[in-house]
Amino acid sequence: MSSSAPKSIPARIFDVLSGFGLATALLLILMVLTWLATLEQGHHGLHATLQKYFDHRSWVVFPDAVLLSDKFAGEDKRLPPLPGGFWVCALLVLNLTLGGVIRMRKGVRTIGVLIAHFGIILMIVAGGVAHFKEERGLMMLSEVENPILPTTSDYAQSLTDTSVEVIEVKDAKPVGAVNFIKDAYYTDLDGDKSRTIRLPKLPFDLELKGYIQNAKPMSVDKMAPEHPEQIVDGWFLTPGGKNKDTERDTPGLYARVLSRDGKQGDWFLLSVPEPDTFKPRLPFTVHADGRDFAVRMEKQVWPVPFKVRLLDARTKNYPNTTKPQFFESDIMRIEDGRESKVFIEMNQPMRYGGMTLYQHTMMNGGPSQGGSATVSGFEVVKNPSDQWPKISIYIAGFGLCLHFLLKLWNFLARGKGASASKAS
Amino acid sequence: MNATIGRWIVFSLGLCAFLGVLLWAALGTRTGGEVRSVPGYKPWPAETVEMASLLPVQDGGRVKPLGTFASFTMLSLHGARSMEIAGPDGKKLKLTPLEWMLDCFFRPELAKELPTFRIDNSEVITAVGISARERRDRYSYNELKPGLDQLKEAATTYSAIDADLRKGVEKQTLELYSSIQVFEALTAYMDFARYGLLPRSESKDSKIISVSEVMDIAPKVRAAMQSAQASGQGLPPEVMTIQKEITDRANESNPVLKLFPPGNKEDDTWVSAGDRMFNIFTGTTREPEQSIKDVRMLENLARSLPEGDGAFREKFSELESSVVARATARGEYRAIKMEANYFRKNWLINALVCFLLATVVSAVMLFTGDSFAGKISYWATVGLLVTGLFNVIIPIVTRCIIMQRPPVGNLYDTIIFINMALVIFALLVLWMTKKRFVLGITPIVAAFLIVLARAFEQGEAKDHLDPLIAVLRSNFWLSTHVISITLGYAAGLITALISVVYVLLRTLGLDNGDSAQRRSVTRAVYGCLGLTLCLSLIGTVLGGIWANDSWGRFWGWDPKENGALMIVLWTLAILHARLGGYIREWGLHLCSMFGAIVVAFSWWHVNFLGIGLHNYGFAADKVRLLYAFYGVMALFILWGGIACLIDRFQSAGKEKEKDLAPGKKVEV
Repeated sequence: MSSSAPKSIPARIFDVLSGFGLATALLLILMVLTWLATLEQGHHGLHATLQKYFDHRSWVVFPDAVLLSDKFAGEDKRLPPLPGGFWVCALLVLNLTLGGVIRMRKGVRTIGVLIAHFGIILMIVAGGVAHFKEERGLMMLSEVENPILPTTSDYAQSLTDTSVEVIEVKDAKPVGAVNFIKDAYYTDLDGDKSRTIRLPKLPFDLELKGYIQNAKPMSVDKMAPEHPEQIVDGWFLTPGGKNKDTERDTPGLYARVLSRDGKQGDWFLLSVPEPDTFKPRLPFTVHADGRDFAVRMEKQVWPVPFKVRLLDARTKNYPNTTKPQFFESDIMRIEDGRESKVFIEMNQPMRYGGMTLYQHTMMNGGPSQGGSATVSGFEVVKNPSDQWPKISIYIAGFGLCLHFLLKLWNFLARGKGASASKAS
Repeated sequence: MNATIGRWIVFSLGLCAFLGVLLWAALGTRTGGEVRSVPGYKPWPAETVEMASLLPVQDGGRVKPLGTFASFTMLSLHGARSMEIAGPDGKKLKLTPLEWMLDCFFRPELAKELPTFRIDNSEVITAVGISARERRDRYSYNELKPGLDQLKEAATTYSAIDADLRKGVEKQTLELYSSIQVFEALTAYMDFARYGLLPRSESKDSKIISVSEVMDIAPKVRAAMQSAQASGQGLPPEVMTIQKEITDRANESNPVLKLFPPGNKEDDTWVSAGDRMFNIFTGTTREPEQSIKDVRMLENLARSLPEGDGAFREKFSELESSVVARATARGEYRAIKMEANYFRKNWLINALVCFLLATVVSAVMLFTGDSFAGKISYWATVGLLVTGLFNVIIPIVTRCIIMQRPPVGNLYDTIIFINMALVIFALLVLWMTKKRFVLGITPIVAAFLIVLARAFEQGEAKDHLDPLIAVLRSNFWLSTHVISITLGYAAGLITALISVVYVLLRTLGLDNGDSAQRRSVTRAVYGCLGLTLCLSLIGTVLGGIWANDSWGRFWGWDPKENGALMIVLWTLAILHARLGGYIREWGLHLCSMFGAIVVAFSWWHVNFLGIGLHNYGFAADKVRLLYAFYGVMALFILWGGIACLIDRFQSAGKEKEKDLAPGKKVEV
């Protein structure tokens, strides 16, 4: 018979949440999720797999049966469910905090592990912050002025997220602020689902429907649509099949104007232009309340708090090969009229004003430019937790090494003691 | 189990592994078929071959000795670094890559008789109307010649098929066609020097018009072309002939051998004889005189061959001195001698011999125990392991010096580096535990890794001393992240190997029930798990920081990154399960053996997935070896699992017996 009194329910909950059992289970689940996601990205692409396995909206994950056999490819067969990776990580942080920091015995023997736990908590938290707060886009610049790409820019365009933009136009020039409808409002509108988007600052609202992740505008002269009711002025959107590289997808949808007087306009098509064109599609024009508005769908644009001008883009292959040796750019950062020349290359980004610019793409000009690089693309990332992982590894690495050395010291000291007692 | 029977079982397993490694090593170069007879073959004098080995050339983005270029070209076409033929009087000759390459350049008619092309599937040649001997065999260019037109046609058809959808025979046809193109380029390279400006058929009986002589009058030819263009008249027929013939000769001598360093120090692109010809006629060279001199040296060299070996060597020496002087002035001859020496020495073969001998001696140790013979075999095993280790360390260090970068830059590097680390970790475990158990398994695994390195190099048939792609060009990250991750793999593997030893010791009764011995093995595994975690975690996060600097994201879910994370998570799970009391001694060892599967997935399997930034695009058939490894480890886990269950039942039975012993109080 046990002499100790039974534990209270909160104490029991605390024991479970801070216990080794939960830690072991979470680590195993995380490993299995990582393994499955690694295999599945070969079938569905990276972006889609990450959304499925590690997004905060995925509470439960059903791995695709194609992992068992290729014969299940294209079929909607699933394996037994697992908890979503985001929430497993969240629970692991809780477990680490309660068990690995609060409950853990504190002393010289455990100091290394304690420090390592701190580091790992910081690392997972950094991942969580990046998950919610990170924004990334592409800034494409040309060395020379051309009608497609600018030489100077102060904005970046998202690689995957889109938005519907509405702006007033007067004398063929934009007037006032752009009204953005973020993709969170329409990516679920597949099939016949529709949603009305209220635009209180404008004299009309928009109704959106028929979202397709990778849409191709198609003329009825070329192909007959499956659903004839979707034809708009002889055109319709046909699904192109999702790309494994989600950034190559060109989402599209149907939209119509709802006037304040209750009139409904005709449906029209909106779709994002092909990624390599770097050129916006011609917008759909709306006339309402005596004013003109342009409506178009684009990859989301977000501002950068300084301007960047491309001075020189350079790329070089190893001699007599097609193997790239380096990609590098000289840029001018312009802020409040002050100009600073900055060098960016692979492994050496520019960190400034809460933004980081990485060398992402390089395109060579034609024979008229001697075939050398003339276009440089920078990935612009805004991530408040950008440097946290670096700090966390210093902490965790120090802790682990300390613990390992302490263990080694004990081991060697014990061995010495044993051999001394043997000798005596 | 009786310890003697156990020893014989371990000996049999070791013998199987030993023979397996030997067989694999031998199978690497075997093709079947008879040795080809080339009656007119005359071997090159050793002095000539030695001299040629140090000629610098530019290939694969770096300057290397001609010997290295020859070695990997022969490996990709012939599937081996030596060629066996029956020479005059049926005498067997073993040609080195350099001898074969000298034949290609200077005795192409003879080279076309040599069994250069390794064909692993006879369907490839029967499909183009050539009768095959065996399924795998080697063929000469002249044997394949009747089917070349059909082969070209088939290759054109197959190249239009998406690479992922090509069948095996289609891929092999394309590979053979590509090999033939390389061979044709090699054998035609010196045609301009042998036959002059005019094609061979036209220059047979007439006087040879040297290309260098025509290059002398290049300014006049250019002036004639410009004036013809300016006047709007067509080119004079003799100028048109020169233009056409020079273009043809230049094309023949262009693709393979970039032999001449450019005069301009800022330009790092070496040029071929063909480039020299083109550039002088297009007026795009800054060194017209040197261009003519270079082409003339090659002409003199090719034409000196009939005069005898001495004359040939004299001309070769003239060419080599000129190229070496220019390469030295550019600082590009720095490591040529070292590299030639590196490939000549065959350090890894020495290491393989040491590790295999260590395996044999450790088998003696198994039966002799603590006797005098046992002590001798123990020290012999340690000595051979250390000698083998030095024979692995030397090539690793040499490669670092040649390439001026940290030791791990590609998958081949990881194999030899892990081999080194594994042996060092094993010796550390031996030193720390003062127990011999680790010596039982380390030598055979080290030998296996050497054979794996050779098989990998042979399968890839490419020079792994290649320069790094832009994103990897960071010595800081290569020497921190990549080294930590690779050491983590080695630590994970040695952990699993010690657990395999535990299973063998315990289930076969080799430890005679000595619980102290068992505890010692378990402690070693626990320590190695800690080391694996430390190295893998630091390596993984450093990789994340590098990725954050290169690609703007800390974690990109690249399969290789994920593999490393899996090792970290698995090791953490084992350690936490152990701390929580969910697994004990048996559980720890079973889990640590599974760790080897996780390491193999991260190290090799992710490369087969065809995705991510670390994708090497391996052929699916190579994944079989990996599955074999998974299978072997799974068998050990199963073996250990069954033994664990039996052990548990026996312990439970004993406990029950104790409980029911007379005089003991029983609660009902």
